[in-house]
Amino acid sequence: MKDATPGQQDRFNDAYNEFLKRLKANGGDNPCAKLFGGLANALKTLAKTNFTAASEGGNAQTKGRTITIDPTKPFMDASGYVWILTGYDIARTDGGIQLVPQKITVGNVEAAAFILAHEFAHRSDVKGFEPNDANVITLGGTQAGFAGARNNEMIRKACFGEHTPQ
Amino acid sequence: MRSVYFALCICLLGGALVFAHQPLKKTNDHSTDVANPQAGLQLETGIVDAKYCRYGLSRYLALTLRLSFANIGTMPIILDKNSSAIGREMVTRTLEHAAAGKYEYDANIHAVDARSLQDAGVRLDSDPKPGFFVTLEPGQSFSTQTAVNLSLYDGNKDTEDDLHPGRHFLQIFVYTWYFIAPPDKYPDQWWKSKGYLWSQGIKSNPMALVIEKQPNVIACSK
Repeated sequence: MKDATPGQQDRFNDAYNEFLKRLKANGGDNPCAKLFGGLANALKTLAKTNFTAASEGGNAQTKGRTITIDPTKPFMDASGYVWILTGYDIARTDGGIQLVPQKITVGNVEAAAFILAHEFAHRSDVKGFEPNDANVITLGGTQAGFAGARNNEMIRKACFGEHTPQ
Repeated sequence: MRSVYFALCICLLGGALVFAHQPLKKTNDHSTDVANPQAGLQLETGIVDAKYCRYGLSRYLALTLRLSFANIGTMPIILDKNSSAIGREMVTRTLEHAAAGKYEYDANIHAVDARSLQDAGVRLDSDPKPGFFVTLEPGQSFSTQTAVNLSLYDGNKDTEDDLHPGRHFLQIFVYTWYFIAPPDKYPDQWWKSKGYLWSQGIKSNPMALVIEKQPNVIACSK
């Protein structure tokens, strides 16, 4: 990864290997590889992707073939866990209803792998993955969700299915 | 600062402001809502600060931009005060290319985890209460600031897609909704009686900037 410190490179390597492990699970016959058009396609696109460390806003940025990871954000977190938003739930309260976030809690290397997978999905133009994470998704004339969370849910289901949103 | 020339005026006021504004002409098709033709919002950007920076082997132009949202329609617009998170940075060589969406530089920015979403202004645990928003009457505008880093070509092949010296036009897409669910899902739809809730984000009008051939590059803290 261009411009990475040794520590950042180590985290990147761990995250990359974690993502690769999930892509290659069961000989590539798994939902994660399928999300990226099959293992062969995923590996081909990964090989043509440049990775850079820089603070460009957000967690990360995609521009053409380049994925830029912000090393000051949770990609490098060492607290033990990171929360990933995957949607929202409706909770009943005394005053009516309240919308509450649904999220998964993942370890630091898994979180970095999740961020990589999310960015790689943007880079790969994965079908159904919204280009703008903060867009409001409208389905059949009804506002259905927040794109970033729905994108994360696609990644969770396909590649991190062992984590249940809470 | 002298190493960057700006076609637009440099605004030096800080913070977020709402002020009366002469009605502006609609200049792009992203400023109106098809379903609500009376609702019109325009985003202009201006440079508050600019410096050429280096980070490791990379060089970038660090801009602080003033964002000016103007209600150019005929009904009140309700806008989230956090409207400064950038989702996309687009650069073209000409205004014609900007109008046609032919970008020489096209970067999408993503916040993935909960903390980064909060850093971007998303309120994970709050409903969209009126206090989070500003109401812009027709002709009024709202100003705030944001930061943009644009990667620069450094002569090497791996930065070929980054910005080269010369004159360019910058546009940014700014998010205008900062809650975990779409507006329609919230039980209290208070905004419906107040005006038009602008939740779909907005692309700014093109802003001219010139990248110097031999800029004074400094080490910036990131």
